[in-house]
Amino acid sequence: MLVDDRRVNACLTLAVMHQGARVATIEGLARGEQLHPLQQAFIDHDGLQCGYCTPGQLMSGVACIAEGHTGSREEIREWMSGNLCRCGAYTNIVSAIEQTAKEA
Amino acid sequence: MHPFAFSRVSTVTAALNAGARYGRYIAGGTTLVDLMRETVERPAHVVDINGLPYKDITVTRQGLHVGSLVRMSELAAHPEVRATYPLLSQALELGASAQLRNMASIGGNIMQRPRCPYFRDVHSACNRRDPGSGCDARHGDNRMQAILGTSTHCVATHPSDLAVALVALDAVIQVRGLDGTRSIPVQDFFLRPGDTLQDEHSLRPGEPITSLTVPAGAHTRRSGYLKVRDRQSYEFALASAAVALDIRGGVVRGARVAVGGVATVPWRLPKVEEALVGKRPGRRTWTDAAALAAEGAVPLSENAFKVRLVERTVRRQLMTIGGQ
Ligand SMILES: Cc1cc2nc3c(=O)[nH]c(=O)nc-3n(C[C@H](O)[C@H](O)[C@H](O)COP(=O)(O)OP(=O)(O)OC[C@H]3O[C@@H](n4cnc5c(N)ncnc54)[C@H](O)[C@@H]3O)c2cc1C
Ligand code: FES
Repeated sequence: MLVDDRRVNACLTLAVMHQGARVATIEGLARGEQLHPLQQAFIDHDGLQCGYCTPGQLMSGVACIAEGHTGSREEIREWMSGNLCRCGAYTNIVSAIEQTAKEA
Repeated sequence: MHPFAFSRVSTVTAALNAGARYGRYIAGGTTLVDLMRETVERPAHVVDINGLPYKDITVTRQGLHVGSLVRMSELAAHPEVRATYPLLSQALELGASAQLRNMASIGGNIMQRPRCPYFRDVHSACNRRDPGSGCDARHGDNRMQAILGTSTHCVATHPSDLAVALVALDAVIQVRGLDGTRSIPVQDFFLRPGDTLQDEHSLRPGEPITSLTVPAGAHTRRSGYLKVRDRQSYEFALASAAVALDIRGGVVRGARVAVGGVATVPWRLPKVEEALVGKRPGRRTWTDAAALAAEGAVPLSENAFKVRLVERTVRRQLMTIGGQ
């Protein structure tokens, strides 16, 4: 998730420590029916299989693009390495982020 | 997770008072919350210190000054740190993940606990978690464990990459006690596993780390960190090398070398440094010096490979930093 626009691990923080902070989760990514460009790119590139890791991949991917760590596929892989995908959709996740970063 | 009380402090006095009443400080929470979930850590009272004013990074002619609550990502990305202390930026960015580095503080990084699987499993014997219970790691799954600085009580490696860089750069840690501040050279901060295993560091209970300083020098610009691991990213080191060289007039004038992933504390290599100073940079010099990197190693049943690995890691990083 994003706390004050920075990506963090929800599982390693305490909610009480973020009183007053701006917290964004996957539920806040789409605008109504309109998907976020990265969500659309995940669909276009088959960036998911079971979908278990997808909320984390998307939130982390949004931050990765905002940080500008998308200069190459290698750079994307390195800066997304904290998000594991048990199904192994990595190649397509990288493609989705690469495309979204280019169009942003 | 066991129940615990939580409070937040915004003044140093309030922090010291809470610390004196056995409150446990929390900064990023990436070590503490993790271990609380595993019930390895069971603090009765957690004190959030993120309101304290330890958040500045300053670079002067004397050196670098970093507040303990600065995040790993902030220090790594600081333009002057990248340019003048590349070793620090690299050690930070080769650790953990982007999310974790946004959360993890510099003070917490230095204070992180062992990653030994037996330490993290409350059903195993571990002298660090439960003094006197024994060490299941020594004759167990010991491939990742240390070969240097071990004792019969504990063989866990120190997991911090940043600490290896700080030891190489002669950093000093400032802490605040009830009776004022004191400075601890980072070399003396980390304690090898002796008879009193509870003491992993020389911080007294309730003393917050306020900042650390890294002295400037001709060596800091020509420095870097190499981390060798089982996978390319998001993994702790099998062996790592922090190298900083002062080369002028075709001669090595000063050398700082420390290694990680192989020792119970961040491990400086004075003999390797001595073998470098006064020599001409080149393959021969790097190879001869790196041959001393594992001196004194006591491998376990599954980690003898670390002896050659650490020598080669040091050699390769000397080549990268010093030129071939
Ligand atoms: C999945 C994972 C992978 C990781 N990989 C790496 C890696 O590759 N390399 C690496 O170096 N690290 C790695 N880490 C460790 C990470 O860097 C540390 O967890 C982090 O730096 C701890 O900082 P924190 O602020 O979150 O500490 P916290 O969890 O808040 O605190 C840790 C400890 O320090 C104490 N403490 C915190 N701040 C202070 C202070 N100012 N004064 C006194 N005591 C204090 C706390 O009481 C606690 O005991 C990894 C962690 C995880 C979870
Ligand atoms: S899509 Fe199944 S874990 Fe990533």
